[in-house]
Amino acid sequence: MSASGVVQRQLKDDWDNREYEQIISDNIKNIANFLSSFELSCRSKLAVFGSSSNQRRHPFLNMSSTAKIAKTTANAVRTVAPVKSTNHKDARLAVLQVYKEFQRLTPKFWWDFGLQDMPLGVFRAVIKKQFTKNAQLTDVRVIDRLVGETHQHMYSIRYAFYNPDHVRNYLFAENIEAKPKDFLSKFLNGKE
Amino acid sequence: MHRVGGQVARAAARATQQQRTMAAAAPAAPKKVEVFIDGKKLLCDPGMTILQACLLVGVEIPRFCYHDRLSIAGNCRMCLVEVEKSIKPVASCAMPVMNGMKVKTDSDFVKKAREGVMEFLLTNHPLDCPICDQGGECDLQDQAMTHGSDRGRLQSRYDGKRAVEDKNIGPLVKTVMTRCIQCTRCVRFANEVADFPDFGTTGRGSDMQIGTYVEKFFASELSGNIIDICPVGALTNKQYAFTARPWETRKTESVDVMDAAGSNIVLTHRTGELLRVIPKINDDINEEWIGDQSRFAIDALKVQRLLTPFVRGADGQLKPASWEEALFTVAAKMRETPAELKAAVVGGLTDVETMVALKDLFNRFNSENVMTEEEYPETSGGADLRSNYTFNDTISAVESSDALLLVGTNPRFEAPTINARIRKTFLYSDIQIGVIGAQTNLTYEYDYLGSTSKAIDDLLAGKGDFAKTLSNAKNPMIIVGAEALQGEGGAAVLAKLQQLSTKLSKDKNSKVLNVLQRWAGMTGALDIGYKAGTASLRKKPIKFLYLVGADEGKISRSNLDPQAFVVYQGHHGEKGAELADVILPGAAYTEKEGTYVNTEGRSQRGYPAVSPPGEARTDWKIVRAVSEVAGKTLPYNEIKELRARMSEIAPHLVRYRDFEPSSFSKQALELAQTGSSSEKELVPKQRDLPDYYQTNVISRNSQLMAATKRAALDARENPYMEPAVTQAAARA
Repeated sequence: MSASGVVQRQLKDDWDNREYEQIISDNIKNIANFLSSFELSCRSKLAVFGSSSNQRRHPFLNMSSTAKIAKTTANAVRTVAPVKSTNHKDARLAVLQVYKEFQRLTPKFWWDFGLQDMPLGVFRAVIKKQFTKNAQLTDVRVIDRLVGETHQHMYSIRYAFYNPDHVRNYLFAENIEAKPKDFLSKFLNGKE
Repeated sequence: MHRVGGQVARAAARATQQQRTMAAAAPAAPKKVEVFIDGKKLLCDPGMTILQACLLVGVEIPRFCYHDRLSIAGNCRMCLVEVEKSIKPVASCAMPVMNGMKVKTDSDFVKKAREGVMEFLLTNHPLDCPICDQGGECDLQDQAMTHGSDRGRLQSRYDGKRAVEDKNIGPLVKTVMTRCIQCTRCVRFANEVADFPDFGTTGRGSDMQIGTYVEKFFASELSGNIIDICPVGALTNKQYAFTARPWETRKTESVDVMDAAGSNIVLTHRTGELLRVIPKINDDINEEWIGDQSRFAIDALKVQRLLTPFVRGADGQLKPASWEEALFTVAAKMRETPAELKAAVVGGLTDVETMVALKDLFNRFNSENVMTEEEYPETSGGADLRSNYTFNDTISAVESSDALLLVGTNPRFEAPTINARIRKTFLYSDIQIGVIGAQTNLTYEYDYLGSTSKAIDDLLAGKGDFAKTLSNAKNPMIIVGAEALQGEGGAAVLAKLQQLSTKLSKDKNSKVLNVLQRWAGMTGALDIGYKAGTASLRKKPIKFLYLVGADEGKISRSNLDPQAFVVYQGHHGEKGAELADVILPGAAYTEKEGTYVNTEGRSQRGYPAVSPPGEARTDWKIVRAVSEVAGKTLPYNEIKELRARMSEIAPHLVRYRDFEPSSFSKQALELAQTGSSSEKELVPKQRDLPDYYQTNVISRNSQLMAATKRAALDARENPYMEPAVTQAAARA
C-alpha cells in the first residue's frame, strides 16, 4: 500500500518535473523569439536611420555628438549574427581551405566527368575563377553560405550524384540562356 | 397573371420612395427615433425599416426577398425578428422602426422562426446543389447552414417534392424553376429596373410560378442582372453553366469597355481562361448593374483573334511572321515616310496608355496626325475645352435633376446603366423627360419633341410646354449623344445646345449640357489631344497609316495614297486587319492593364485577368517596341513610367476613380459657331433592342450576342410581345 503510494508520488513528481521543464523551455523559446524579433526590428530601424543620416543629415541631428552616434549605429548595423565564421578572417580561412580541397579534387573530377576537352591547367583556372568571381563579397554570412554550397558540390562530385551536364551547367552555365535585360529583348522573348 | 405595369410600378415605387425621402429629409428634422437592437440603443431616422436599422449597428439579418435597389416585397419571411410587445415575429425588411421599439435579432424565438421558414423553403427546394451552378455562392445554401435545422420533416416518399417546368427566356439566362423560392426579386427587377412587365407570377401557394406566362424572350438590355440578384440557382448564366465553382476561380476587378459609362466589373477567371463577367458595385457609375453586352460578349475574346504578327509578302498575301520581322518592317516604313504623310487612327476601345505612347511616337517623328476613328465636332473650342465633350454633371446627378432633355441619343442602348438610373429617377421623382430623336421605348415616359434639330430651335425660342418645364426646372439636364453631333450640322447642334444650357443654368456648378460618348476610349483620346474624326486624313494622300483597333470601317484604301502602307494593331481580325500590310497582335481589355476615361471624364483603371493569347502583346509595349526599332526610343519601359508621363500630360488621368470637373463652358459658348441653322436629323442609329447587341468589334465576333440578336429579332414576330414603339406611345 505504502509502496504503491511511493510509486504514485514518484510518478507524480516525475510528471511535475516534466511539466516544469516544458514550461521553462517554452518560456526560453518565447524569450528567444522575442529577442530575435526585437533585434530584427531594431536592426531594420537602425539601418533606415543610418542610411538616411548618411545620405543627408537629419535636421535635428546637427550636433556632432548625435552625428557620431548615428555613425556608430550605422557601423553597428554591419556586425551581424554569424552563421559559422565570427569575423572576416575566419571566413577567409574557410574559403582558402575549401579552395585547396577543391583543387585537390580537380584531377579526379576532370577525369571522371569527361572534361578533357580542355587541358587540366585550364580546368584548374576555371575552378579558380569560380572563387575569384566572388572576390568582392564582404558579408561574412554570404561567404559562409557559398563555402557551404561548395562543400555540397564537392560531395556531389565525389559520389557522382552529378552527371556531366550538371557540371557543365554549374561551371560554365552552358545550357542556361541569359535572361533578357533590355526592353526590346524582353518584348521579343515574350517576357514583357 | 399578376403584372405590375409601368403606372402601377411608378405608384408603388413612389410609396416606398416617400418613406425614403422621409428618411433622407430626416437629418434636417431633429426628430430621431430611438430603437433598441439587441439591447443596444440606436437613434435612427423615422421611416427606416428594422432591417436597415440593424445594418447600422452591424447586425446582418438573413434575407432572400429584400434587395437594396428594389422595392420591398416582404414575402420570403426569412428576416423575421422578435419585437417586444408583439406576439408574432415581425418581418424586419418591411416594418418601419417606431420609437422605443425593442428588437431582438438573436433570441431563441427568432432562431426558431428562422428555422421554421428555412424548413419550409427547403421542403420545396430540390437537393441538387452538386449540379447547381449557384453552388458556393448561393444565399439559400449559406443561410441553410447558418440558420437552418439539421433535419426536415418532409416525407418525400409520401408527400412528393414540388417540381416546376423550366422556362425558356432566351439564350442568356438559364432557368431551373424548381429551384425557385419565389422571392420575386427578378419580378421586381424586371418591372422596376428593366421595364419588362411581362415577367410576373402566376398561381398561388405551392403552385406559384415565376415567368412570362406565355413563352417569351426576356426583352431587356439588362436581363443578365437577374442572374446576380437571384438568391438561388433558379436563374443562372447560360454561358457559364457547369463551368466552375466560385472557390476555384480568381477574381480581377476591372472596367468595362462596351460603352462609355465605364461600368465596374469583376472578371472571373481560372487557369488563364476568362469565365464570366459580373458587375462590381459603384454608386457613382453603374450602381449594381451591367448591360448584357458587357456581361456576355466575352466569348468573342476566344474567336477571330490575331495570334501572331502578319506581314504582307511579295505575292500580296498576309503571312505569319516573327515579331522581329514585323517590327523591322513597320519601323523601316515609318522612318522613310515624310512626317506630313504619316497618320495614326485609334479605335474606340483603346486604353489611354497606348494612345499616349502612340502620340508620343508620332510627335517624335514630327507628326501631329493622330486621330480617333469616332467623329466629334471641332467647333466651340473642340477638344481644347473639356466641357465640350464630357458628361459634365456626372451620371449620379441625373437622380437630382427635375427636367431632362435627351437629344439624338438612345441611352437605353448606348449606356444601359445610365438609362437604368434615368428610369429609377423617373420612378422615384417627378422628373420630366423630353426626347429629341427617335420615338422608341426608353423604359420611361417622355414628351416627344421631334426628330430634327428644329426642336432645339423651338426650345431656345421658348415654344412648347417642355420649354417651360425646362426653364422652370431647378436642376435641368441635357444629355446629347455623340452621334447627334457628328457630320454636317453637328457643330450647329452643339452650339445651340450650349446656348440652351447657358440659358437654363441656374447654378454655377451645374453645366446642364452632358455629352454621352459612345466609346470607352473616346473621352481619354480627346483628353490627351487626339484629333476627333478621320476627316483630316482625307486632305493629303497618306502613305503610312497606323491603325490601333480601328475596326468601324471609317477608312478605306480609297482614302489613302495608292502605295500606302497600313499597319494594324489590335486584337480581332476584322475590318482594320483587312486593310493592313502588317498586323501586330494586341491585347483585349481583359488582358492588359489600362486606363479608361469614361464619358464623365472619370479615369479608371482596368487590370488584366488573363494573358494575351499566342504571340499577342500588351498594346503600349508594341508601340514602345516600334519606337525603339525605329530609332526614336520612348522614355518608358514600365507602366509606372508611362503613367508618370500620363500625369505630365493630364494629371487627372492617374487620379483614379475621381471625377474631374470640366470648366470653360462659357468660353465654349463664345467660340461656338451659332450661325448656320440647317435642319439636322437627330435619330440615333440604335433604336430597337436588336440594335443593341453587336456594336463593337468584340460583340460583333460574339456568337452568343449574335444568337441573342436573333432571339430579339424573332421576339418581334411573337404575337404576345408588346410592340416596342407602341408600348411607349400607349403609356404616354
